[in-house]
Amino acid sequence: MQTEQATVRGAGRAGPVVLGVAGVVSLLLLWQLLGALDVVPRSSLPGPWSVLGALPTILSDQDFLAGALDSAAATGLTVLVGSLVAVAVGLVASSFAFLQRPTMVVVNTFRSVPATALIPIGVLIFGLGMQMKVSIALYAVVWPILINTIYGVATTEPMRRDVARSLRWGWWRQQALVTLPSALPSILTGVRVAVGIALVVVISTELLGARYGVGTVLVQYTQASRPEVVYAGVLLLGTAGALLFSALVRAERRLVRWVHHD
Amino acid sequence: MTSPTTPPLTPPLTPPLTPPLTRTRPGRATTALRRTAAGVGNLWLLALVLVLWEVYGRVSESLFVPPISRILENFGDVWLGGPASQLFLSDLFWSEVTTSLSRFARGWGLAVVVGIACGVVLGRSPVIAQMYGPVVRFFAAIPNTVLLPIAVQIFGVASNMNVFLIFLGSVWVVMINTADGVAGVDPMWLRSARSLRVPRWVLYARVIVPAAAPQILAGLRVSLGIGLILMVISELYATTEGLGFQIVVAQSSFRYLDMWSAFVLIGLIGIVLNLAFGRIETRLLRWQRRTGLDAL
Repeated sequence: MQTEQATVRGAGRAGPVVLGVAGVVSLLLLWQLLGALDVVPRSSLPGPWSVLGALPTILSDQDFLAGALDSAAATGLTVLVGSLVAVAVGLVASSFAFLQRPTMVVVNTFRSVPATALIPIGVLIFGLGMQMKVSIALYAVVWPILINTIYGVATTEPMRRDVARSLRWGWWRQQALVTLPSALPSILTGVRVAVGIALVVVISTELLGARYGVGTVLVQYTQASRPEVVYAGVLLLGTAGALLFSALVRAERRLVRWVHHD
Repeated sequence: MTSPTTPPLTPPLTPPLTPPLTRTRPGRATTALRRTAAGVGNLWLLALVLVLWEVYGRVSESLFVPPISRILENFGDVWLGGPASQLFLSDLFWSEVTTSLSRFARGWGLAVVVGIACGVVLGRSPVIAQMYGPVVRFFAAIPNTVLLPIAVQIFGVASNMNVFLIFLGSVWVVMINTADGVAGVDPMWLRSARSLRVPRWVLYARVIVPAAAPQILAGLRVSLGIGLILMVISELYATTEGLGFQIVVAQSSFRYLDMWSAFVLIGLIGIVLNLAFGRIETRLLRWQRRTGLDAL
């Protein structure tokens, strides 16, 4: 790896940026070419310029902005509630030996039903509002966090647990000062995965009928056959998603570093 | 059912310690039997959850949440009950499940091939990695169901739409994991392969890909789940056949039991696919570890 990296030394320190830009530009050219050669009809894949031109349209669309807020709120609420529930259940389940494996059986069984399949029943029970979005997304989000919590607890240094036990710490104290800090890196990974899943599921519910949200607005633009606006929206969502993930990774590293310093 | 009953017998002094002690005592001849007994014993919580569901379904008498016994009964009526030549599965099972699974297999299979191929290129060439790495991460960050309206626009309501969406949703995870795995191959192995003048394709087939296998397989496992999610959502959104379509039909004609038994079937398919994948994974990784030891 190191020898290979030395060969790109010619590009210097600005290398990654230049090469990254070159990569994006080459893909844009390919995109333009696909349209120009009529490989994909314009009506389904508009050229890059018309998509970029549609960015102001979608950014000034009040429905889109309100929908984005709504989707973000649903995702945030889901991840928050889901993390609290899953971490609590995970800590309890892994504190008792007779609960560990049975819990994993339950988790693996229910995890196998993709949450998106449950959207029709969610609509019947909860209607088309926020409650439906959050409850369907919760179903999707709880399992990865729970699994990561259980794994995280299982990898706790046994010595630390022995110390806590010999100090005769109570259950709460042991969880808060020993188990939770050592499981934190694993839990945070689970939460990061959960954010992505929550976003996907929330947008799925919007495509299939929720009354407000980014997905609803994009479906409206599709039906109005304005594909360039749809693509612009997808680009925006991708950018937002990428920024969110890099922020999460950074926050995670900071928290985990703190754990290691402890 | 042994583990839950033992702790009450010994008062809660050190309950977590009792089950392992009893488990290590018996002789080797009975270990296989013990293991299956433990496997069955681990099901008690699942059974409890299902019983609670049954009780809730009966007490609430909600139309939308029927008790599990009636769902299973309906499951038997709708999806089972075929002749022995069809393995006792109904005609509907064969037509719908093969439709959905063939879409899944095509989309996911394509994603695996393309993802691993591109991932190897990304992992081997730092220049290409720097050019396209950010773009790949960007695509991976797009919540992939957003692409559903676009996929319908490009392909119309056809099987290719579902295949395309499954492919597009699962390819990035495979690609990123493969690239990371390939970039992380021990340089010593590469150098020794080079000094042995190993031909190029042998280097890839016998050294690089096997060494990256654990991470590639981890990516495949994640993409399996994503692919299933997208298979269902794309069939719910726009299609004329398949499992998701059965759910939509059942919902719009108020046959809630049919809907629930379709959930059960989808869950079973997920469980079977995950188990099969786990088998293949341990098989492949066992081989990988053995060559690792041989290389030492």
